[in-house]
Amino acid sequence: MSRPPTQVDVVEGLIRLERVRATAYARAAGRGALDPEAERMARRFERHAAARAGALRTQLEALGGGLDGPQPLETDDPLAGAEDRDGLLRALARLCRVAVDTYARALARLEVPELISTAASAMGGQASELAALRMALDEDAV
Amino acid sequence: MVALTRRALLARGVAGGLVLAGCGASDPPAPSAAEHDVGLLQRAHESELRSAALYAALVPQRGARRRLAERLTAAEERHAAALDRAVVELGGRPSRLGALPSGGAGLGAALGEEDRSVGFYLDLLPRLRTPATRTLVGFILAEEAAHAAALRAALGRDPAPAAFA
Repeated sequence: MSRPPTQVDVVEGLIRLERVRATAYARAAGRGALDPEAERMARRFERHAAARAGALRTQLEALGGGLDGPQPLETDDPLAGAEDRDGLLRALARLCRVAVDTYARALARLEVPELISTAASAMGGQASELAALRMALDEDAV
Repeated sequence: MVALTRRALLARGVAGGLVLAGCGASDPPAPSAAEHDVGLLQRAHESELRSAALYAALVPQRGARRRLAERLTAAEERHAAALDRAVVELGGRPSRLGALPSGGAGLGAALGEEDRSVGFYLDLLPRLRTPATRTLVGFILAEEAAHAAALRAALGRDPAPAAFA
């Protein structure tokens, strides 16, 4: 019988998610299919995801947890099948949407106020990125 | 008829006070998690109604800005309705505002309002005690951050300049 996730489990999951997103942004930027502005955006969002992973890791260590080195991607390649500019941006936007949903569920499981604050602030950053990706696709941001 | 001296009257007064003090006047019980969150959600509801009123003042603008203002107004009204439902589910009564601010407002003021709203929810979230309420408010925070991004873009700024809200 599996036990309910602890706060450490939840934060570890969020860190892995940010690492998946950082990798996805880096891969998208390196495909050569994005225009310069979109490539710059992808590079910046890669740095954002890395910053969020770092902040969460710091708080995870304060809780007594910690991920040992780089973790393998546990999901299928989120960019699979995306070849052109719009395909890549849509794949990144889908991943962003998953991240927002994941953080929202995490907020219900976290109890330490500092963790809740960090998760909420990270969620807000991701929501801004999702809006930016939608606008890059000429879609409504909201 | 007993003539009470002043000293006797004072003594009776002190004795009466001591009796009252011993009558078990206790502190009110601490609010439950639901009761605690009702008050916070009512404040959030009022905040959303104010935002909706500000965006409604933007609607007379034209073209893409008008469409943006209309979508933002509708979103804030949805947030207010969701918060209303959450308050009722927790056993509280929805709050009702008096006259809302009206008059013209530009996109710059709207962005200021969204930044205020994001800050409001960032402050609120760690204080909520019911998990489902934190998820609801988290989603609202995310939408407010997206609104701010859209407004920054409409003002010619970078929509997502930072990793954190």
